[in-house]
Amino acid sequence: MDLSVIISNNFYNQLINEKGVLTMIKVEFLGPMAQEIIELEAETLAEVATQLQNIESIAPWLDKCAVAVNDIMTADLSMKLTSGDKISILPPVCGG
Amino acid sequence: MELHNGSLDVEEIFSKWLHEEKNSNYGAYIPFVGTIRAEDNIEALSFDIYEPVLEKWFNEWVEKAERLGAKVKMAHAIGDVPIHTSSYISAVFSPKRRVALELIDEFVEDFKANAPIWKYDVKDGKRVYADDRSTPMDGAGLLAQ
Repeated sequence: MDLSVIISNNFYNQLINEKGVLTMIKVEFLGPMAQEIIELEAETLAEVATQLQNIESIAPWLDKCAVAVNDIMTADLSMKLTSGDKISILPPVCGG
Repeated sequence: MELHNGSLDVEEIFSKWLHEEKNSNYGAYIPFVGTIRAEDNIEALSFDIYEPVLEKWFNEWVEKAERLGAKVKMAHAIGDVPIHTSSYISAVFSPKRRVALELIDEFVEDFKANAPIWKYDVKDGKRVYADDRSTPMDGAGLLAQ
């Protein structure tokens, strides 16, 4: 998937499918990842995973990154998402 | 918990915390001070912090310490911290020494593993991510599945 396409897909917010309004979430990449916030359509974290795995600049980071949903750390890939949720991608840390 | 831009003033923070707990009847006060060492020709280390998750992480430690009758405190630097100055101070207060001695060990180790802070070497004014010294947080790799 092309990153520029995802970023420009704000118009998804306006779209409606048979199930109702699409679930639009934001993904932010913290620390050294140097990546703009992107917006995705995803019902679960598993769907976020699939989409991020297809972005060349992000995929190599994923096996060492932890995940927070609305600033709460999570380990549940089946977690259901709600429109407006903020997903944070946290690369390896070294405080102190 | 307190975050400061640049190096920490160790003496000021030490004495402030001591003063805060002056009448709390704690028998033990164990501080840990992290100081930037001169190595690999670095001028400084630099830090990014994600505050919302750090605050939650720290608050869990406050609650854990409370259950043991103890108190934890922490200060960290944001941005550049030159060599031979301090980027990180944590401390445990407890009624007796044993709890504080054990807690400071767990508190500092969990900080290294799970506090959302990113470290960079500063060389020739440039920031380089310290990836070889960084640790994936608990639960890392979820989105690679």
